[in-house]
Amino acid sequence: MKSALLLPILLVLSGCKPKGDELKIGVSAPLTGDISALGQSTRNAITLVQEEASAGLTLGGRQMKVRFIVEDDENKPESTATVFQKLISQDKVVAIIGSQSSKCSNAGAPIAEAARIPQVTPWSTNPNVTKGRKFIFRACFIDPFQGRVVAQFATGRLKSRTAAVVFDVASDYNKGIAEVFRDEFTRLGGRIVGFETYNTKDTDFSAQLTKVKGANPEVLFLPNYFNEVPLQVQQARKLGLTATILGGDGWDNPELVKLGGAVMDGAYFSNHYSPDADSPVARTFIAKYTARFKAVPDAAAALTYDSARLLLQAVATAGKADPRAIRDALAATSGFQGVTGAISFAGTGDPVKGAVVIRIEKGKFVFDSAVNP
Amino acid sequence: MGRIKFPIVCAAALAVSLGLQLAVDGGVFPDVLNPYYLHLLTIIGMNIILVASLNLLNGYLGEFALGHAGFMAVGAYTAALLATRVLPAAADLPPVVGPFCILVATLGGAMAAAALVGWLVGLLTFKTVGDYLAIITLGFNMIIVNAIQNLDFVGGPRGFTGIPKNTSFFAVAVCAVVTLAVLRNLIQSSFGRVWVSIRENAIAAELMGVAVNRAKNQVFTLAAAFAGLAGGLWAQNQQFITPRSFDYIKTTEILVMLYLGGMASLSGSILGVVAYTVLMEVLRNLLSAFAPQLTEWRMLISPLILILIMLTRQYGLMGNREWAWLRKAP
Amino acid sequence: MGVLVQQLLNVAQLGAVYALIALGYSMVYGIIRLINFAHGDIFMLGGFIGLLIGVRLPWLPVYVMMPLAMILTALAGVLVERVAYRRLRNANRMSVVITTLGVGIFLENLVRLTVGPETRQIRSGMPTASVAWLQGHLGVYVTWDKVLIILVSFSLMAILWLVVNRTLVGTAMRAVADNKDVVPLMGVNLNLIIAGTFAIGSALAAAGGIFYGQAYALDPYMGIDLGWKAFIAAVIGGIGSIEGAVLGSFLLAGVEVATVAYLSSNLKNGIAFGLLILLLLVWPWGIMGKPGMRKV
Repeated sequence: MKSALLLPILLVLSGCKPKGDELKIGVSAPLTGDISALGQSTRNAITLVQEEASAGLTLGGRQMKVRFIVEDDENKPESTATVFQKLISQDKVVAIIGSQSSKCSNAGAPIAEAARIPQVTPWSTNPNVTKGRKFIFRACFIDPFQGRVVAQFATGRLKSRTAAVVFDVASDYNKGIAEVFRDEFTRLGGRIVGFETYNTKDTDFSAQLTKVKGANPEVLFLPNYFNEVPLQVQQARKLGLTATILGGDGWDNPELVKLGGAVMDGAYFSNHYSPDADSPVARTFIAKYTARFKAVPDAAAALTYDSARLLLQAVATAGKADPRAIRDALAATSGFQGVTGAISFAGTGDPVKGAVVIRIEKGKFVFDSAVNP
Repeated sequence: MGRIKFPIVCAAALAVSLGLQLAVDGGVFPDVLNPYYLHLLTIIGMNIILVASLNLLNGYLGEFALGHAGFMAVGAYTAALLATRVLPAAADLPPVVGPFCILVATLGGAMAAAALVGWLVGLLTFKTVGDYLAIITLGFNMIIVNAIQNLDFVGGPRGFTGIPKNTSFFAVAVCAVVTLAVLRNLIQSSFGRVWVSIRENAIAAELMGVAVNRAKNQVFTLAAAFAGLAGGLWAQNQQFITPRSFDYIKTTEILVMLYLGGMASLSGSILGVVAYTVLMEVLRNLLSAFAPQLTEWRMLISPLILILIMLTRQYGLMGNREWAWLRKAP
Repeated sequence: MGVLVQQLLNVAQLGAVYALIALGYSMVYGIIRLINFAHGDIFMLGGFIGLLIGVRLPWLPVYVMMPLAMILTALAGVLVERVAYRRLRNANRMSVVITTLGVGIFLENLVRLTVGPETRQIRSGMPTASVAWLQGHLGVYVTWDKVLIILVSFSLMAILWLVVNRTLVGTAMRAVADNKDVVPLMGVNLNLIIAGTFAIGSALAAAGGIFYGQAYALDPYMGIDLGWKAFIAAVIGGIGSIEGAVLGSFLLAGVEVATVAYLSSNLKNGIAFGLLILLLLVWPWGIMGKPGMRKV
């Protein structure tokens, strides 16, 4: 029992470290838990930025090292709140990158906002995250935009009149896009013949797909994550479903084709960027990432990389390690050239940026068309 | 050394809490007393309420209930709805008294709603015991989460955003102390003896004239009410809740803290929560300071420590003993 | 008609996997009254062991790979019992539950850190072509691997039933389940029987894991959800009863699929668990369970 007293003392001691001239930026990432594959991409992207920034920054005549502190939020809102509080109060970071899922960013945002620490989330597409907040930014577009992009693609380029949707009802991202797609597709004159749901971590979709097959849609929209989509497509094909498959940015991970193989060929998805993008920033990033981690970067990696560089640029513009000045510099960002395209902020924390549609061909992601807001 | 009296400990705990709250708000010793530690203490306070209330069911009544996060969800969503849709904003009310009234109203609502649900679940459990009861409570937990996911007016899977921060560490501390005081007095009254008699031998208890079903329902209602209180605090502290935060993974976490501390012991509930929360944060800080590349190993090390503790102390850290100040004079 | 047959086959495949996990829960419970919450993660481990064997020794045919993975997983199950549970056998029943939860979290993160967090699939070389006759006559799409999974699962369950009910070891197991204190006095090695139970349960779970990795996918955290589902199935059927575990599994799978097919997929969990609760109110000890198994 007495030894239990040692634990809090250890906690306080481990927090006391000599301070140097360091610019600290916190990163809240799902390193463990159900989307830990994304946590890995996040960490990889941060490692790249950390190496690029090894020269440090000169702020107000002082040379400062840049240090990213990566913490595991387990993809749980309550852990994210603890991570944010730790990064802000204990590590005294000037800004936070993260978290990835919207539910975690939503739990961290009130803390960052109250402490007046800028937060840039790479991948949280839920509109609520930035709404009514001054210090919260994101590097990605939001769900409603993406749902409209896919619906327009389906009725326009694919000329389809009937569509079915199968999505994870327990996940905000999937449900958000699915509903916008349904409304937009109907508005454009199409008919939704199946709107089926499942629950996170389900791996057997055959009951839903059997039902969808009965309705025989021209396109099947699967706004779900890359680790589930290949199973859904495989099971759909095994059941004899022939519809064209569509998806969203949750698809963007090399695992999609590694897992799905040939069955994914001919599918389309909307994304933040295309890996065969022509911009020099994207080319160098993809080359470096692939060489260093032996894997093609996914959207989360690209967006995390952009968020970190966006933040460093804002620090340089602000000229001092002061959270409020960094926030103002972030808000004034215009035409920042990122891997995922040009990012500008116009009054809100949501960037003005376009989307691309990618086609899967022989296991490769190929640029199909670009859509601008 | 003479016996330390319960009211004195409570008063001291509240005084220290108020001191800490004021010190952190005022920025005294910002390096040692920073909001991070206060945040951890707040979580500890809320978890003590959760674990102590689950202890009523699992420890004193001896049932194996697996749905505590469900009661918590009911409380959290009720409080969130009251705070955002029904009650006026704290800013429109006179200072101090206004926020206090809002907090009391939201928490009261949360407790009442959770108690009602707990009472209903209690009715369902009359016919089942042991591990079968576990499934009823677990199933109820899953139904609650699934239902909230389908309710769009509370945000569905997107979660409930924009809940005002009506709580503070001090408010949580007061709630935790009140919970402990109520539970301690009930457990050590004739009510508590009835519960323990059911745990030891329900048939014998019935023969002695104990209304077993009524007593079981009392415990379910009471445990659910306090879980609802914790949920109400949780929602207004985190300012954002999502249905999946209340699934069986949360229930498991509460269970782990309960058994780590020891069953049928309020001291164990306190110690289990403190040990678990602090252990996880110490690991986080140590890894972050000395081996940042091993951050994700935390989730590998912590279960090992948990297993080790359970192997060396099979009845949890406290067993079913109580600290002297929590015991009533014989 | 076609759709109904298709859905029934979906039930058969899902139920078979549930059953392979639920059996381990039920057997261990029957013998030492322990709810082994790490069992879902043993199932996951079995799947990953199968995957790794397949990756390292791709020339190994599936009918060798699978028994090998089952043996290795059985050893892992016995090891867990020896290291983490045996010392607590006479302790408070519920404190072991926490150890099993700890073992589960440990296994999840061990696999996540060593194999990686990605979702993986087992490509064991089972034929994946559609059964032509069914497709032609009923319009039902059934692939051969699905048929194999269902058939092999049923065979494994049949073998288990024979072992438990028709062999000396099975008799000893049933005797221990009946009375743990007296039976060892008759010369039965209690530790051996318990280890054997863990081995059999883990091996079945490994078979389930490999099938799961073939039909669906593997990820390090998959054991949590499936473990809970299988636990529920075991209890519904009457925990401790082998027939009950199988029955409960197919019932749970059936209710889940029927909810999606004929009611609402949004409310799948809600309706499925609502029905299960009603069921338990009718049969408070599970369908095949024996009344009187009360804690005393």
